[in-house]
Amino acid sequence: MIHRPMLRADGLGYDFPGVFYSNTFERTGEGEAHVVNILSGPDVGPFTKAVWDSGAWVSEIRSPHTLYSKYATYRLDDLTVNHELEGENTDAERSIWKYSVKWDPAHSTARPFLITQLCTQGRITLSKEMLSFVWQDGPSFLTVPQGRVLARGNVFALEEAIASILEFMVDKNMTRDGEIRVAEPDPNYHFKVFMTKATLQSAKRERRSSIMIAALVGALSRLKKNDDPAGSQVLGEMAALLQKANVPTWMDEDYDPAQAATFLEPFMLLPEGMDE
Amino acid sequence: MSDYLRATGVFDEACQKWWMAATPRGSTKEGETTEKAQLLATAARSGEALAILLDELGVKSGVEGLEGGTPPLLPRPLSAKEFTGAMSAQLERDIYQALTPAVVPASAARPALWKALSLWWWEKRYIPSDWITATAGNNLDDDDRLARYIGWRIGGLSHVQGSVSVFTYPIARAWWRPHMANRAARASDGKLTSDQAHKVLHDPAIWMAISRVLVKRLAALNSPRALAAALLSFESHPPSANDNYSKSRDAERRMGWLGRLAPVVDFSTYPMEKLIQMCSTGSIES
Repeated sequence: MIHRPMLRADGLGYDFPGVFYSNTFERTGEGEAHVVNILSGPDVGPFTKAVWDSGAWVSEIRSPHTLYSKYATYRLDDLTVNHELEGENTDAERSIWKYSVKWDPAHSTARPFLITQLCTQGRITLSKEMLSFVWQDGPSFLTVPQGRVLARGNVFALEEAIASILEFMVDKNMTRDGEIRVAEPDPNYHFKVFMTKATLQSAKRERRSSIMIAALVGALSRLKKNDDPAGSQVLGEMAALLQKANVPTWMDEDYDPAQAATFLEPFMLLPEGMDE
Repeated sequence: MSDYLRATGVFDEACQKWWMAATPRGSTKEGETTEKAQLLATAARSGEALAILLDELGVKSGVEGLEGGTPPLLPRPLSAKEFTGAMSAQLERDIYQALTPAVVPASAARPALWKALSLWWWEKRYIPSDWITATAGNNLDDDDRLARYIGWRIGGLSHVQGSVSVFTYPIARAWWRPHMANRAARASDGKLTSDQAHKVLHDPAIWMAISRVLVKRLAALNSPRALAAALLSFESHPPSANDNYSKSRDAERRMGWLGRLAPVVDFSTYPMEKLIQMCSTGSIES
């Protein structure tokens, strides 16, 4: 299989030195989201021109647990491209493609993945002027056949679990099993939860343990009134869930972290006969 | 979608906890049988396993393990052999039709759903009451082995087998295989019918390979076109080996070749012939 150049959003490639790619998404409702792809850099014009006729943004929603895979494909020439300046005092532009993807929640588990690529739907020709030195041997152009990936985006979990704001860690200085300590959040609103090794092992044995709920209470009590729900995807989802159920959020006067946490992750009530 | 078949919440958690306590991972040595396993095994030998399980799981009926209304019934009562795995392709399709659309992939991926449904069908005599004594064989001699056997046979032991457990439980398998066959057929550019795809998936060695590989190691091959290519390749060039294990390994290896393409090609537009060629020979013409 002959390799072809690839533009990567994770920055782990140098095939196109003059083009930068980044991708993101915005949830717009249950089972739907907007995908945003951004190309920028000095060579974005020639690159876009080369792929215009046969290039397509392909987003796959994949849920390995249910063997689900759904593709949304948009040809470049069918989409509206927005251009904006990369920053103040610059003429450099970036091109932004935005489109919607939908999936069936009944076909996926709680956390489907979004995988976005720029692919060739037909043969395209790339001028080697926009390629790095490793591609310079031979003719002045390179052909890329149908079905190849030209740009690979970052992979996202579409529905981040609320529990993912918690990161359980061992604190060697803690000596009492069964005790936890919740640290201040980092800028992305992830909370480190410290405990002994034995406590951590116990927490891992149960998918939704009382330790996790206690940690969530601790984490939510760290939120302040001016913490913006737009600050992180999970924070936004938590605020939306609480508001929808009329449970006070951290932005309200009557906010109760215990109530909010146990609304989001209720304690499991064992049925009669399961008293152990 | 019927929410009641999501099998979420209390039963899911209670069911998981009970089976983890009864059949802990790795405990197969003599003398390591748990009290719960002993209780279940003793009851099973006297034909009381269902009553014990309902009692232990804290429900009066399997249907209580599910939320909402009445779950679907099987198309007909199964024999003990059919229940423990010897199902024809036709029976699998009938089961799929009887359970769909009540069962959807999101619920079918949950072992607790199949546990609750098994108890319900067992109560309703769609699963023969003597299936344990009729099929357990040597497992009847050992409490731990017998408890595990029952767990495997009524929905799988997810804490031991992981997410693959729902693909080894025969009734769940009977739902998943036609479901996957339909998806692959729709994505095959007209080269594969649903029945053809189902026939390939019905091969025990190929199913073993697919259930092991697709979920855990080659999620890229969730793509229905890639799956269709693999099935078409297996149909025209069956994995070669003398026994099922080696055949399964050969199928895994060939799907692995297909997986090599995943980072550089788009399965939704890459020519089907090349995908089949890759899965058959491990190489493609550039």
